Amino acid sequence: MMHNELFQTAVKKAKAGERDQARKLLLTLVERNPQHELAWLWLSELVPEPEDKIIALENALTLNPERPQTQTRLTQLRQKYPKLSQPAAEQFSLNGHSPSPESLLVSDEALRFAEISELFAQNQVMDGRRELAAFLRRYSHHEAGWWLMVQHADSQANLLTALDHLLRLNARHPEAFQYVEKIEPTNEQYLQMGRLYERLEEWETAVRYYKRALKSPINADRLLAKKRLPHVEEQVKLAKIKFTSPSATVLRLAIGPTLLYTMLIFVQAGLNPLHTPPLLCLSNIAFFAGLLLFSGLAYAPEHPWLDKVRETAVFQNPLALRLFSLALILLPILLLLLHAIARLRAFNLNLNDLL
Amino acid sequence: MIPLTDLQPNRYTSFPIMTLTLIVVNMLVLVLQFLLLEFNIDGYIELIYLFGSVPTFVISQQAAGALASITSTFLHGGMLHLVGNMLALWAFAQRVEDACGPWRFLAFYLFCGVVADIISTMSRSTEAIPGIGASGAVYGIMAAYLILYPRGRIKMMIFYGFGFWRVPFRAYWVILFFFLTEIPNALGVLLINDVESSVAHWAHLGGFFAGTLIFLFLRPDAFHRFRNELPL
Repeated sequence: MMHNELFQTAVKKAKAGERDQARKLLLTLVERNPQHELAWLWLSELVPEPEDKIIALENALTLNPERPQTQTRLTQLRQKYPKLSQPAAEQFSLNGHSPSPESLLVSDEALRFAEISELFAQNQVMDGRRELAAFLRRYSHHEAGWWLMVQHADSQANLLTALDHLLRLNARHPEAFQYVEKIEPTNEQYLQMGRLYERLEEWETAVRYYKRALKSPINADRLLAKKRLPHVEEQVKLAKIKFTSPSATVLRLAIGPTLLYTMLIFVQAGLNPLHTPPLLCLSNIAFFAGLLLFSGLAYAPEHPWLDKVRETAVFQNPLALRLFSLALILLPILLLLLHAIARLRAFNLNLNDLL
Repeated sequence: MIPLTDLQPNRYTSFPIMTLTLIVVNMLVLVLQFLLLEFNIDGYIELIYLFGSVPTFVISQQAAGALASITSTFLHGGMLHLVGNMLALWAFAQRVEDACGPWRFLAFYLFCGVVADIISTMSRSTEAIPGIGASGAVYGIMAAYLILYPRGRIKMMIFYGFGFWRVPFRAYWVILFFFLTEIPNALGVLLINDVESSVAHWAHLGGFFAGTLIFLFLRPDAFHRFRNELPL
């Protein structure tokens, strides 16, 4: 049965009240495809133990950190069961290694990890891996544990999952990148590869893998890749971003309204620049200066020219400087308005001539 | 074909205060025009001639000059004229205002209106017919929208017979449609001296070209994103 059919059947059974059967189907599904976010979400509702619910929700959250309902539900559960509030579980029941209840009761994290390391040192890899999986279900924040799992993963799928957790905890892990580089992913692992490169902030490579994941045979992978791509593509652009200097910003913001004012003067002068009244020419310059000052105070307050202005006795008060800039802007507008009104008052409209 | 609304959300602000203010002011001015038309027809004609843009007055430096250039964008020839302009303004201005901020948006709107008026005055410099309407400024806003959000989605109302459809279109189709239909009309005015036309096609084109200077009015962050081809 394909993953989606399996999922649909499980959902139907869950809705029909056959919770046990639905749970078994979903467990089979997540074992086959640990990347199925919705399966983890449904599983979180169907498993009876709160700890298992938390595990399922954490897995769902890892796969899709942007679904707010998952985070809300997880927070609720952690508040309800504070003893389980430490991030407990991740999906390391891979390969069917279910942890023994005794191993979960071990409280001394460091001691337990030392014992597991010892198992690997004695070349008891199978036992070590099983114990490590159990350990990581309990202490999912344990970076060294995940690093050990990366080194001793028995399959590429497990390696990818371990790397994902390791990079989530420490995206700058000195040796993780080498492992990621060596992976030759299958069609179904492109999404995970995209996530790994995203965690490593290798945006262009992440984009490449997410684009491949868009053609993945797994529906959930395609959806997640589609969701992540815009963000990662934006990061690619951000990495190449060109910054605008504050001086250029101030100049740009002053030019726009000055153009408007100049156009108005142009109209006032009968569309003939030679007829422009000298006072309006001066007011245009004052308007531009006022805008430069006003924008400068807002967007480049540390500019050396502004420092020089502030050194003068009158403008040591910032409010005075701001008011001065406003006056430089508003007075030319007032002057132009008065000029237009004066001309309007002097004008005698003869309707008979016009109509 | 009438634009109804923009289907995409704003980035910086939730409420296009200046766009709404402009729409309300335009509506109030039309109400004033209707009142004058009803009770004082001479006053109405005076209003249109003194505060509309009359090319012969502008060229001979008579009447309100620059003031009329601004006020003419707030006068309209009737309800349909106003509704058409204001619907287009509502559809395209929301996100342009969002990218500029309200005051810079106002300056940009007026700038487009004034440039549209200048081009219109130049194209019919011997006429004594007042030019009124916000369409020059609205065309400027449309040009700005095309530059900033070419792939934006605009809901359009398309009439057929006695009914209409409401269909979303990509902004570039809508704006290019409006722009390209203006070109033959504007050329007609210029080459055939088609003075009977009651539509200021050159004002539309002038406003549209003025709208390409939108980058001078963008808020710093929006300009930064625009310059780096990030989504606005």
